[in-house]
Amino acid sequence: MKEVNIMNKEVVLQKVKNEVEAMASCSIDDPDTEIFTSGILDSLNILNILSFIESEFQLQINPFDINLDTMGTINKICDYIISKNRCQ
Amino acid sequence: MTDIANLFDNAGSTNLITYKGRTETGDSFAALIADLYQKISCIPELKTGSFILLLNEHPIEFYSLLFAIWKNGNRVIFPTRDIFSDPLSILYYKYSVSLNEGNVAITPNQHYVQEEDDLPGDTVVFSSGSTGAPKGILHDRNNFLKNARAVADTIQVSSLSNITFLKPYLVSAISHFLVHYLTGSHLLFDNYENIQNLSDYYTANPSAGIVGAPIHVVSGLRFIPEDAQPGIFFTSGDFISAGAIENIFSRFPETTYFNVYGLAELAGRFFINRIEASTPADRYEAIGTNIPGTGYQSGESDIRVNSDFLFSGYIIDNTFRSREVLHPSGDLVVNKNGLLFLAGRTNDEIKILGNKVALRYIEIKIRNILKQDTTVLIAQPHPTFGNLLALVIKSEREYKRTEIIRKLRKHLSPHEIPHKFFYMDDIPFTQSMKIDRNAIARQLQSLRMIHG
Repeated sequence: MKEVNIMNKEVVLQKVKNEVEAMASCSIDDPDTEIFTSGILDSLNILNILSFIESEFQLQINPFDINLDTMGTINKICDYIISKNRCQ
Repeated sequence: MTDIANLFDNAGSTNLITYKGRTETGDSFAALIADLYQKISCIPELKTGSFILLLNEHPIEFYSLLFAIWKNGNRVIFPTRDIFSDPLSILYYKYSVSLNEGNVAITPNQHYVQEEDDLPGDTVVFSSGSTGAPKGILHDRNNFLKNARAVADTIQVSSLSNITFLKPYLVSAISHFLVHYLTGSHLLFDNYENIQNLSDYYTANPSAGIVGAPIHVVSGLRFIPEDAQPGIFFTSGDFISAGAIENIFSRFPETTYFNVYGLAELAGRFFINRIEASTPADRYEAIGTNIPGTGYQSGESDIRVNSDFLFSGYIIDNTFRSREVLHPSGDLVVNKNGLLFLAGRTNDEIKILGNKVALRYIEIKIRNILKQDTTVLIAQPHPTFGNLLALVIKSEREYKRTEIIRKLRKHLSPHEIPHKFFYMDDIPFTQSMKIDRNAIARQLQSLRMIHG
C-alpha cells in the first residue's frame, strides 16, 4: 500500500512538473523552487495550473485553497493534489 | 441540364453572371438596370426615404434592383435573415422593394417610425453578414463602388473567370460582383451546396479562380482536379490558416492567393494580402496592403478608424442610447452632424482574470502556430474561476497537452493560452458555413480531452 502511494506521488509529481515546465518554457530541476514568486510563472498561469489539476486528477478545487502554501512550488501542488485526492 | 462546358465560352469578355444556367451579359444587365430605374423613377414613394431590399432568387435581379435604387439616390437597407420576426428591426425602413417577374413591387411599412431628421439618401446600410446577424456597417454608394474598385485594381482579375458561391445575405457577394462588374470578367455563381460541381467547372475551365469565404476554398480544394491551374483564390473574412495556404501552393504553385479582411470585414476591405508560393508562411499576415485612404489606430480602449470613403468613427465596447441607435442590433449610431459612429459591435471578447481575450483573433493565431487548419477556441464558463479557454482540434495526429502549451507559450501571452484541449472528429458548421461554436460548447464535456 505504501509503495502504491509513493508511486502515485512520483506520477503526480512528474505530471505537474511537465505542466509547469511547459507553461514556463524551461526546466525546473528542484521541485521546491518557488514558481510564482521567482517569476518562473506569471500569476495569470495559475488558471492553467488549476484547470490542469481539475481535469487531470478529477478534483474540484476550493478557491480558498489557492495560495502560495498550496500552489507555490511543484512539490506543494503535488502534496495538495494528493491530499485532496484522499479527501474526495 | 446545364451544359457546363459552354459556361466559359465568353469568359473574360462581356458575360457577367451565370447562375442556374442563365447567363446575363453586360449589355443585358445595363438594360435591366435602366428598365428598373425607369419604373422606380415613376413611383413617387421611391423618391425619398429608406427601403428594405428583398432578395430575389437570381443574383442579376437583386443586383440590378440594387443599382437602380442606388441610381435613384435612395437609401437601401439589407435585411437581416429574421427581419420580419424581429419586432424592432422593421421600424427603420419606409418601404420594402422586390421584383416580381420584372415588375417592381413596393410595400409600405406600417410600422415605420419617422425619424426627426431623416438620414440623407444614397446611403447603404449593411445590416447583415453571412450569418444574417447585423454587422452595423454604413457607407454610401459611391464609397462602395470606390471600395470595390480598389479591390479590383489590387487583384487585377480582368482576364479571369471566377467561381463564387452564392450566399443570399452575404454582402461580400455584392462586393465580389462589383469587382467583376468593374473589370468585365466573368462570374459564375453556384450555391454552396453544389460545391462538388467544382470538378466539372474546372474540367471546362482549368484556369478559373475561386471567390468566396475561406471555408469555400478549404472545403472545395478536394474537388479541384490535379491538373487544374486556378488563376487566383480570393477570400474575404477571417484569415485562412497558413496550413491551408501552404496546401494550396503545394498543389498549385503558380496561383496567387488574395484575402481581404479588416475590422469590418464585409465593407471595410482595409487590407488585402497578396500571397504567393514564395511568401514565407510567417509573413502571411505581415504583407497586408492598406487600401489608400483607410487606416486605423488601436488605443487602450478603442479603435479609431479613419477613411475617406468608408466611414469615420469609433469602434468602442459599449452600449448606446436607444434614440441614437439606427439598427436594433444596438451597434450602429448616427451622429447629428453627419459623422457616422460605429460602436459596440457584438464581439467575441471575454475576460480571463481581468484581461481581454478576443477569441477569434487568438484562434487564428493558434491555427498558424500549430499549423493546424481546424482549431476552434471557445469560452467555457467555470463555476469558480470565471471563463476558461477551451481549444478544440480536429486532427488525425495525436497531440500532448504539454506539447501544445510549449508551442503556444512562445507566441501568446499567458492569459491567451487555452486551459483545456480537446479532439473533435467533425467540427459542426451552421447553415451559412460558419463554425457552430454553440454546438461545440454543448458537446464539450463529451469530447476526448488531450492529456500528457
